[in-house]
Amino acid sequence: MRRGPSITALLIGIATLPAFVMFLVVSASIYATRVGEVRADIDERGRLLAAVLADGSRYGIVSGNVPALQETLRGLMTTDASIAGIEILDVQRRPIASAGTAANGGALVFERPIKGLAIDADLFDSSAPHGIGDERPKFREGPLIGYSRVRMSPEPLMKARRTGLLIAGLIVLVAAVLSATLGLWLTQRVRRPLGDVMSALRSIQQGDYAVQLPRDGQGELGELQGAIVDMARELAAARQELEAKVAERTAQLEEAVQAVRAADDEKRRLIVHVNALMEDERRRIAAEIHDQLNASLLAVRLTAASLRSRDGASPPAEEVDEAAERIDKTVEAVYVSARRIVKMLRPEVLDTLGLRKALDEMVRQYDEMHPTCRFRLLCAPDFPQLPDPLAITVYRIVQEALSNVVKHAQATDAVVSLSMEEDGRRLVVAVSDNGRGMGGGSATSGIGVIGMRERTRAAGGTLEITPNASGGTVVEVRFPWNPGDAAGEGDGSTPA
Amino acid sequence: MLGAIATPLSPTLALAASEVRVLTGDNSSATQRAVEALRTRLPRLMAGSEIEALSRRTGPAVYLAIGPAALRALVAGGLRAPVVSLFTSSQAFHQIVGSALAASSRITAIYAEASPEHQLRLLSSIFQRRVSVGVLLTAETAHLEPLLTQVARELDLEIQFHQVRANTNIVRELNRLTAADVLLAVPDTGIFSPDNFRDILESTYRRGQPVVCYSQGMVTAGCLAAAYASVEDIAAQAAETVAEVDAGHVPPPRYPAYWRVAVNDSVARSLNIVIGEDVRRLGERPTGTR
Repeated sequence: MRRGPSITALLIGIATLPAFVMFLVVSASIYATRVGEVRADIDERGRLLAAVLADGSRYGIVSGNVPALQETLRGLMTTDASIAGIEILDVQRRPIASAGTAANGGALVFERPIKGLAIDADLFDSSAPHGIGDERPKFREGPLIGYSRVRMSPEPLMKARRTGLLIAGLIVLVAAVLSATLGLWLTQRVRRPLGDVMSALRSIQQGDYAVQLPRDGQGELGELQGAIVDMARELAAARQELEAKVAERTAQLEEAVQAVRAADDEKRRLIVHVNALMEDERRRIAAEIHDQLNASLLAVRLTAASLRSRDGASPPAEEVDEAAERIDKTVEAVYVSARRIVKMLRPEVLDTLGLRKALDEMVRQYDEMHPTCRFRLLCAPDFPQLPDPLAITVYRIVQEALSNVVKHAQATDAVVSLSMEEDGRRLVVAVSDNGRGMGGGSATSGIGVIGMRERTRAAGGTLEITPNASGGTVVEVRFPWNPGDAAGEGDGSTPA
Repeated sequence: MLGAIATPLSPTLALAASEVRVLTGDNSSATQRAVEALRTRLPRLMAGSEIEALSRRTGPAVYLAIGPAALRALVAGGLRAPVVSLFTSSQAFHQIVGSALAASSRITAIYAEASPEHQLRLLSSIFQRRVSVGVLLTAETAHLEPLLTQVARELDLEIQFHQVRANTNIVRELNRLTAADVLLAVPDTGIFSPDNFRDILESTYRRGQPVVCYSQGMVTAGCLAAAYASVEDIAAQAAETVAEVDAGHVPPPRYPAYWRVAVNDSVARSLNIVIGEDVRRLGERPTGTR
């Protein structure tokens, strides 16, 4: 929104106002100078006339020749129109002779005392020796004998100079008009380029950076035009760059949103899967208990009952031995079944042997059960004993990874490695194989992988599944490690 | 104060019996010039400005008073020794000494101004025709009127007097003497003063009326001419008067015996008056002077 006068109005003002001000100032200056000159002239004339009159009328006062004085004054009045009046006064300021007006009426009054002129000649009038005085007489001021008074009016002089003043004013006015005209002409030369510049700036303000300005201006004006075009170009480039950055950031944001959404989906799927697994596990444990424990316990009960239902007669020893042997076998079977159930619920070996040996046992079992693939465990000597929550997390992740190797990799070699980063601040657990690698999405989006990721995230670690350089897949998990978190000394096993 | 004055013996006047004691009224250069002029004529004189110092000296003496102030001091001192007044006008002498003392035989004077006779002789010589001479007098100088009238008659001059009151507007009083061809000025403090002298000269000049006056300074100021006695003229006559006193005779107050003429040539040219050399050479010179 435009405020204030336009450039055209400003330029016209710049072109004309100085000339107008110059006209006023110069005219006022000329007038003031002329008035000052007239006053100075009148002042000088008045003083001179009063002095001359004082000198010239001395003898008239002394001799009392008033008519001669009067005639002299009248003659003086005719010599200068500025003289409004002249008076010769005695010592008491009473008029002796006068001419013209005695009223002031705005006239300037000049008065000068009239004094006699004494001569110190040898007049034999003093007590000094007579007749031998200085031959050269000395002149000095004598006693006061009257006053000369002149009234000077500046009006006639001003009237005489008024014409000159008018001509000077007209000359100044013509000069001012010429100056303003020249200013307007010069303004016209500047106005169009400045108008183009303003249009270009308005376009830039409205977002249109494709401005074009004719670079026909000279000097700073041309420089201004060029600067505006360059500025528009740079603004356009900056805007494009900014928009690209915004688009990039928007895409990143959308990806992040999608990742969050995917994570949420994974969590939902994981929860469903975990619930299903828990139901399956409960069903399987119930079946185990029903099929194994209950049946065995029932068999023991029946065996015991068979020994008691003999109406007080003791069963034969062979039957007792046989029953005892059956009970022993049945209880042995129950023990095995119960141990298997407990093992399914929590790896006992982890509590008894520690993580390293539990993993060693797990790897050894996999190696035994799957002869087509060789399973190995590589554990760094400085790998610490992990506390229980982290140890079970690592154990389950390795279990899931090896399960995936068996299920999907068709590998011939699988290695589980436990190590510590050089700075001692991160644990590294890796399961690598030389199988067929990650063919589809199941490698990174399967329930097992989701479970591994969630377990890792819950422990504050990171999980990466990457292709192995020599083929196959590498599952690598890193956990933050504080040496103060170690579970204990030795190999990490706990007493059974 | 004037200090001691040397008194070298001079063989020319060694016979004088009385000591000449000169009393000065001031220590101006003009007074010193007068003392030196007297010393030329009276080498043994004693000069000083304090009457007490001079009167303490013993032996017969003649006192010379230089100027009115010295004369007034000697008169007031009541000395019995003879006194000769020098460089004091006749009017001032009579004002100071008074009529009673003037009549005494011990105070005499050589007036400062030339005698009226000499002035009228000069005037007559300048115009060399019968002219009308105007003279302003006051009561103090009215006694000159008979003498002036007599001399004028002898020189075939017409003279008219106008007596005025002292210290009145002399310029306006001069209007009463417009008929005179020339104005003769006599020493009178009631007429001529520094304040009105220029106006008097201007007034007379406007009327084409020359003024013959009584001192060199007045001539320089604008008078046409003057008959006057120089310092040397007065000194010469003073020496003669001292000799007379030593001889036992105190002469009466008198005008200078020696005199000369001063002329203002500019005024003469302006008034179209030609003054010849014979006029300029008028006067009486003491022996041995020019």
